[in-house]
Amino acid sequence: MSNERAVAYLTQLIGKTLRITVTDNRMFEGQMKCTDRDRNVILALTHEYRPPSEEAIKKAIAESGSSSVMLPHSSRFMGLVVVPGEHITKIELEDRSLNQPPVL
Amino acid sequence: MAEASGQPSPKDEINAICQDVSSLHLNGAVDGHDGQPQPLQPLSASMAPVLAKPVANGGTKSWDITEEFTKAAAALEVGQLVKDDYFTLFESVAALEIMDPKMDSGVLQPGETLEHDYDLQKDLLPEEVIGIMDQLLCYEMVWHEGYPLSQNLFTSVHLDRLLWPEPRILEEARFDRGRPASPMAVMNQILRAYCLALIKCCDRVIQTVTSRDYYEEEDFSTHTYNRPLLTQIDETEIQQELSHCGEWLANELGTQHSMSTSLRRALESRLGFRQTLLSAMHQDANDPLNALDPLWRSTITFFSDIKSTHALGRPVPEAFSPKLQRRLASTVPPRPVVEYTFDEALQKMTLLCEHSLETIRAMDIGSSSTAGLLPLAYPRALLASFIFGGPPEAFSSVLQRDMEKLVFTEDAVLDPLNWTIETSRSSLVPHDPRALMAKTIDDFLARTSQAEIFDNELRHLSKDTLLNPLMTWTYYHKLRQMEWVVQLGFEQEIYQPDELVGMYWWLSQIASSRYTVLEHILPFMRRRHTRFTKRKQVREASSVSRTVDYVDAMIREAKGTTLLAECLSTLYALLHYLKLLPVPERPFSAPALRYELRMKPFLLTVEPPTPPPFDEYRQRTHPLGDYDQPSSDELSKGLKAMSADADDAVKMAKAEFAALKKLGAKAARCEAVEDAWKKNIASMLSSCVAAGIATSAVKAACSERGGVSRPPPLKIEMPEAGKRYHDWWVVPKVVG
Repeated sequence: MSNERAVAYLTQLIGKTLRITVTDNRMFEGQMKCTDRDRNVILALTHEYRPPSEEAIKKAIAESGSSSVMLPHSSRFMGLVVVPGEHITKIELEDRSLNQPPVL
Repeated sequence: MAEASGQPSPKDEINAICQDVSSLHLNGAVDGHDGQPQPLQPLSASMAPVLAKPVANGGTKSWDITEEFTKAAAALEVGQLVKDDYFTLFESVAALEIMDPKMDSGVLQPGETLEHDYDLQKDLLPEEVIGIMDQLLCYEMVWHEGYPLSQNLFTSVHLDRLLWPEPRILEEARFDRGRPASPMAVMNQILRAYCLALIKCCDRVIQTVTSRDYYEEEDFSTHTYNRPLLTQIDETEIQQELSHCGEWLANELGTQHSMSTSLRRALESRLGFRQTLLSAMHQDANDPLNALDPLWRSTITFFSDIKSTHALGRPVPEAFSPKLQRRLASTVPPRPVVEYTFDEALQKMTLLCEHSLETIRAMDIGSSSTAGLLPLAYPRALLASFIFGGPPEAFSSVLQRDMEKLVFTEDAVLDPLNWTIETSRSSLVPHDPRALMAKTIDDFLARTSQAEIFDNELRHLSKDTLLNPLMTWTYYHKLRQMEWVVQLGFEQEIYQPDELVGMYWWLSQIASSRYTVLEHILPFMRRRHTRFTKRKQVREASSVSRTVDYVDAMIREAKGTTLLAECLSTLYALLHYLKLLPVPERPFSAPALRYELRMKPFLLTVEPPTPPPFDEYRQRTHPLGDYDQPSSDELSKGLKAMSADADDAVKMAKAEFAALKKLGAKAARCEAVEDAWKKNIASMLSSCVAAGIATSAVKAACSERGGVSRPPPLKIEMPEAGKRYHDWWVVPKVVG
């Protein structure tokens, strides 16, 4: 792919809200500010979301006796973060105004 | 859809569960009370409330762009950045690196979980409750000392459960939230009541401190990590909980349960302490001060019981987990928990209460404290609240009382009737309560000219009034502040040893001006006193007589200060001539510029004392010429005369301070802080004695040696701040 096309694609994402999942299953949702060749991403105004641990799920199911139990994601505000590319497992773009994702 | 677990697990069972769960809606912790999935808010739309919490899944559209993103990023050059034009690399330095254990408080070691394994439903023993309460007190004091809550109180599993998710009503703040309500064990109820009151106390402290000037980071951390500290809950509800528990302890528990008297006493004293502390902290600045005084007083009475029963408690380290701070909203890496011993914490809490009580008494009686220990942020804010937080009249009354004390005793000018006719034209209220003291000197300066105008008017209105009372009062207070600025310089070790000659000389100039002001007031007050006595106006006479005593005490103090400062200035000059004081090399500093720097706070003053021109200052501080090359004729005679002067000065200074001591705290209007006052006088007397010893040693050296060709075999030790008899008086130790 040409460098120009790559820059054009990535530039569209600047300021957009991304959800980045990392290797330990946490998800970070924030505004993209910057990225580089190693896929390191800087997000601003970031919230961290952590899925319930397996033990908590087991415990909740055991206690309620039903498999359709509600468990909250724990979340907290973290501000400006840099997510190193090596830890990223998934990148999602969130944008309710778009009908389809931007094309590469 | 957020998945509960994306990692394949070796166990089929878990896989099955995960699949089940991954098909569920997972709700945000806060917004999910109603169980309805909520749409994810785009952050751009929720910019204003930064802490609004979007829910982790919802109806918002999102696309997986992992593949495209990865390809595009790979096509970038090494070192090429795609970034927001307004985003600087400088800013990026502050970003927390995810998955780096030193920066990312959320990263978990393999097998580690964020959940603590403490069972909050477990019935607690009385000993454990005491242990937890005492540990909470330790953490509370760590917080008062300025550490953020995350490093102390917020490590408590109990507080965490009570505060998060935020309870809407008090009933929700329970240890067993999220479970079907069940009757709580009595001991847990007691701990809960204590915790609730503790949280509310913290809330009050934050409100009091933030309503005043303070330095975040340095003085006090007000950050609550987006967890309101029961701000919305009415204090009376919490008081009720405490009272209920108190009643249980007094009635049922004592008889039905086999709890020992000492354990009951331990719990009662802790609950009682919280209850009175909460009431004391809850009072507003507008409440009458005399309602507060007994509350703080009785808070202090609980400490001896708390201290003696501390050993009964059993520590429950599991009830505190540093992991909890990882769940807090955090833009900073995790920090270690700070520990105080119980004795240390209790000591600090005692001081907090004593300082708060002193504040109230000081406001009531109008005396100033001379306590040496720096009060915590709360009592300081409390004082500021009393002075500046109330209606403007409250502040004026403080000023009026002070004026009454010095210049307007039993004077018609301050008759409350005068305030009913017209409101005062100009407010004397300074605008910046905690501006640097040096800054307030300038303010006072500006007020002097205002005062002059009013004084002229007053002269026509009232005949039986001190000449220029307002000017006298402003001038007097300006001089006090000038003195304090210099004395704080000694206390904070701002001045180098070779600058002490000049600074003590300057201090003696200020103090002697203050002495002159007081001398101008005294005869007038004496005349009034005699007149009132003759007319048998007993009340007025005794009131004026108090002012006479006060002015007299202040005269002693000002005179003592002048003399001791003179003695030290001369003594240091002598040490320079004897070449006993090293002068540091200052290749980049000129004495004249240094002088200007030291005098900066006083350069605007127009009334005496004004800083003299540098040449004159140099002449005054170098009476025998340059230290290195003194004028050789009659040098030994000059030195002898100087040492004799210093000796006389210190003797007289001691006599003045001794006389002040004899007049007593009441005369000095310091009876509210009598102990501190006495200690202060004793320290000043000790400083005089030490200065006397040093002077004698130097005097002997001067008379023994005819000249100064060789320094006498003496060694000078300069005590550092904190190790002096009095921090304001740097008295050298002369060792033979």
